This record gives sequence, structure tokens and C-alpha cells, in this order.
Amino acid sequence: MSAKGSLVLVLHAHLPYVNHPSSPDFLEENWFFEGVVETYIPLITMLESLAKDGIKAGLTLSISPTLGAMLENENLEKKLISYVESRLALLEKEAERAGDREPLAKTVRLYQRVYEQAAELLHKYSGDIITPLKQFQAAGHIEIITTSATHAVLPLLPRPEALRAQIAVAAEDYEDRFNRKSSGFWLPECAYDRRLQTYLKLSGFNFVFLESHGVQFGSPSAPRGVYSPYRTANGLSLFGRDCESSREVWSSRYGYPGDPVYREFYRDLGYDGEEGYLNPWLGGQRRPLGLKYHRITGEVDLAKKELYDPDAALARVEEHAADFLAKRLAQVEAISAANGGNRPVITGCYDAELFGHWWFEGPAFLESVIRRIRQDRLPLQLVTPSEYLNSCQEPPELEPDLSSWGEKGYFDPWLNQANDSIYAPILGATERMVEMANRFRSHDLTHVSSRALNQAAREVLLSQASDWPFLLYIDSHSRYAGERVRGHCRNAEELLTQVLERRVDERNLAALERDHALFPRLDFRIFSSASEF
Amino acid sequence: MRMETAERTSDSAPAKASVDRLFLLPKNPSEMFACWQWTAAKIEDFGSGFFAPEISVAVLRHPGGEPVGEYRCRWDSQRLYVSVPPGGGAFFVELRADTSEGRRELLLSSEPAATPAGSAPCGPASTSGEFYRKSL
Repeated sequence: MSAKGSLVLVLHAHLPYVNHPSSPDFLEENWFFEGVVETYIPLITMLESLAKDGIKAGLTLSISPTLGAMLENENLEKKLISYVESRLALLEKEAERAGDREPLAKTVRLYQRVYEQAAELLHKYSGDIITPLKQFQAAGHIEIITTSATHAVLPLLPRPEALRAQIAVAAEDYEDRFNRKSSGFWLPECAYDRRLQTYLKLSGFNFVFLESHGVQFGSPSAPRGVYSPYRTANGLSLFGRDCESSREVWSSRYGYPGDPVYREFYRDLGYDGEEGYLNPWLGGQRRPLGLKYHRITGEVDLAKKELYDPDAALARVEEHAADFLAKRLAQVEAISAANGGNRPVITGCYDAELFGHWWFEGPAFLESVIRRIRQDRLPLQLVTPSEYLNSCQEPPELEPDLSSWGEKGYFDPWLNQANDSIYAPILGATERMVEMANRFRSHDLTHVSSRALNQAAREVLLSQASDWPFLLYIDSHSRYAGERVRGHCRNAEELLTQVLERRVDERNLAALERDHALFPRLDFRIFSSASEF
Repeated sequence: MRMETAERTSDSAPAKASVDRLFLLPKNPSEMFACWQWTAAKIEDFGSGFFAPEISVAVLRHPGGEPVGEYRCRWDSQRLYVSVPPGGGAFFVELRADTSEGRRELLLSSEPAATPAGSAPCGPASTSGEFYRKSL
């Protein structure tokens, strides 16, 4: 059956750079371990399973440079393997504790499979899960794109040099990691402003994704809404996010993930279990252990949640996948009828960590959606943006409006009274970096001064991550977030002062290079005003 | 042109910068955010009474520099939310202070910032924040 429309599914995988090699057990490093075990490995397993049956997923995966650097970091790889082994040891005890009490025993066995699968995959690829992703991209199963160097909300950076640095460093980082250029660029938080298109094109990017009202309030008007790609005057292609398909998956209240049979995220063995029994895994403080035995149940107190039943959840996944596709087909019919028969493209964008980490059944849902499209020969074409752009006519021109996909549609989550004190230091350090790059760009520098300037550039980039203001806003790990911002700004300012005063503290510099070991080819001159980059 | 007084007072001592700096950021269709840093010399100027403690933050249209709003706040409040003038567009801010001799001096000027042309429907967030907030 010929396709009546196209579906572009984009998963954006990102974590802030958290690497503390001198600490054997650092709480915030668990974000990375949980992300790998609960989301990235299940997605790779899904891709393997589809490939085994001759099915090309056709997904777009954005991997942030900070996440990419962590996935390649040997210190984190070692800790990740220990994390998986430690969970498997706990699950062995949990299996004994559950005995034959169903459905608890079934859930424990399910977790055992999850962690065993993670251990096998890590062993198979010697801890490097970038390798299978590269292979899937090379075989045309997925398209991998990148995002800004440290996931900065770009419209909140007034200096054009900072925009160029965030974008150009990401392009270089991608090329080093994937041995090719990225066609696409994920705008962190879908945050767009018109200054970006120049730097995106200069760094070789061909397309980005926008929030729907960025298209809706663009100029001239967008007659086909978000159901057609557009292009800026300088040829950057734009895909507008479809709210309808996103809401069904995103909303924890009204979307599929909130179904009562699905696993409850917030009730965790780390808080439920007996402290003495769990002590080896808690490290002296209550924390989530990733083992959650209850289902959402309904709008009831956490204590009243009922036990999770994996079989019931999997059955519901199939219903939801069928429902999602039925709605997409109806949507395609309706849009096509309203647009004189033109075939629409529906772009669904999601944080990758939604699938598996937040929504435990998410990877199974995704697999079911892909299988149904391919096996049932549905008149929907699941394509990557590059595939779509190669086969469509020249998109109409559009100048999108300032926008983001955050709460209320702009920048409120990243700029409010809970986090606004971080902006003066971050932007001040950024300006100083620009001034120093201008001052030293043509100098014949000593090796140590070059290293110090490059590390200062790394520190400035790390200070600009969207994660810090967001964590301060939601008051989660806010102390850590505040310390990270202050630390990166202080490191940058000190390094720049040391270079000026010709007294670089080499020991401290080496420690920073070890702890913040990303962007190995970074050259501080990327921050200069007339950069040759 | 509106004249407003900011309620906000300083919640921490201003950090010393190597250069006085003023920034303007877009927040949403109705608000922008201005923040600034002072050098030790300027902190001394305010501390010694050379400049009056209350400063003026003027909002001007870019390009052209037409004044469209003015706010007053303490020099060490370090940040201020300002309203987007009707019709939106691009703006910059200027920071001025009165000397003890009664002369008004322009201390800092920001780069321009654009504001959104439209106003998005207030739907739920589309990020993991949706899930984070569930626990709050």
C-alpha cells in the first residue's frame, strides 16, 4: 500500500556531564548508569531485535556530546559495570525474598533479565555502546544527530561567539565520534532564535526541529502548519513538532505512560526496603535503586500502589501502540484532506530517557509501533529527516519565531527566580573567554598556556548547560547544580587569570583536564570574535 | 514610557568582576531579564556614595534607541525582570546612576535581545520536567 503520510520519530538522548573519578560512589553519576541500563541498552536491544527480523527502525537519535563523552569514558564504563553487577547481586537476594509470590517474583525475574541483558551487551561491546549505534547508522537503520556542545539553551547566550562555539564544537565532536558529519542538529529544549541559522549552516548542519508555535508564528505564515518541512533563507531545513502525537506519549497524566497498569516510577525499593538489608546498595543514604515493584494503580498515595504485573503491562503496550497508529492514520487522512491531498509529515520528538527510564514500558511500545508499521504494511512511512528531505520537493521558506518546548513555550523553566542568579556569572565568564580568545588568538603560546586556555573554554561551555538552571528550578539536586555552575565559572576565571599572569597551576590544570575530559580537540580560539573556524 | 520600582532587593553581596557587564535575555512574550556585574572599582564608587544607591534601568527599542520603559532598583540587586513593551520587537537596556553632584551617568549598555512575535498556548511542558513535576 502506498504511504499516505510520513512519520519522523526523534529521540533526544542527553545527560549533563557528570564524572567524578576521585569518588568511588557519586550519587549524581547514577543518572548515567540508570540512563544506560534503563534506556540506551533497551533501545539498542530493540534495534537488534528489529534488525534480526529484517526491519529497519527508521528512527532519529540525537546523542548529546556530553552523553557521548560519558559513554566513552573509561572511568564511567568501569563504574557502570560495577553498578550492573551490584544490581544483579541484589536481584539474586530479591529473587529469594520473593520466592513464588506472584506477581512480585515475575517482576524480579523481569528486572533480572533487564540487568543480565545490560551485562551481556556491555560485555559484547567491551563497555562501548556507541559502537552498535554506529553500526545501526551505517546500515541505514537509524540516523544519529547531535546537539549543542553542552546542551545550552542557545537563545539565552547573548554573545554570537558563544553560539558559534556551542554549535561548532558539537559538529567537531560528532565527527570525531561517528567518523562522519551530522546532517541534523537537535536544538536543546527546541529553543530557537533567528541568530542560530547562520552558525548552524556554517557548521554544516542541514536540519533542525522546532516547537510548533515557532512555526505557527513564523513569517510568512506556514499554510501547512507543522505537517510540512520549511527552510530558512540560508537553506536550513526545519521540522515542526506535532503536539498531538507528542502529547499522547509525553503526558504523564493524560498520555499512555500514566496508565494504571504501567510501572510506578516513584515507588522504589531504595525507599521501601529494610535499611539493614539494603545497606550495601544504599551507601549510607536512602536513594532510588531502580527496582520498582508497583504499578501506577491510579491517583492514590504511593503507599497504596498495587503490585506490578508485567504481563498486564505488556498487553496494554500492544493496545497503546495500536491506538497510537490508528490516531496517526486518522490524523494523516484529515490533514491530507485539508491540504488538497498533499501527504503530510508528522514529527514526534521525545526525550529518549522517557522510554525505559520514566516510562518503563516505553521501549516495548516503540518496538510495537515500528513492527506494526512495517509488518502490517500500514500506509505510513517511518523515515529519518534526511531520507524525507532527499525525497521531498524544495520546502517553502519560513523565518521561525523565538520559541522552545518548555513549560509555557519559551524560557521560563531555565530563567526564573529559582535560578536567575547563575546568569551573570555564566555570561560574565563567557564574555571574559571571548576577550581572552581575541587577545591570545594570534599569540605564540606555551604548551601549558594553550592547555589552560582550552580548559577554560571547556569550563565555560560546561557552565552553560541547560541542566543546571532546570535542576535549580525543579529543586532537585539543586545544591549540586549550583556548585557545578559556580565551580565551572570559577575554574574558567582562575585559568584565564593564571594565563594572563603567567603562573598556570599545572597540577590543578591536570586535575581539571582529567575530571572534565571532553572535547579533546577543543581550541579556545573558537570563542574569538573573528574566528577562522 | 513607564517608570517602575523593582521590589527585589539584594540577596547576596555582588561578586567582583574584571569588567562591568550588563546582559539582557528574552524570557517570554511579556518579560525580559537584565543582570549585571560590577568591578571592585564600581562597587567602591557605590559604597563610598559617589553614586546614589538607586540606579535606573532604561529599556530602549533596537534599532533606534527609542526609550520605552524605565525601572529603578538598587545597584547591588544584580538582576531585574522588565516588561516587554506592547508590540514586542528587539530591545536593549541601559544602566544609569546619579552621582553625588546630581549628574546622571550612563554606566552600561547591553546587547539587544529579540522577543517572541507570537504567544504560545500554555500547554503542558514537553520535556521530562512533566515527569519530575509529578513528584513535587
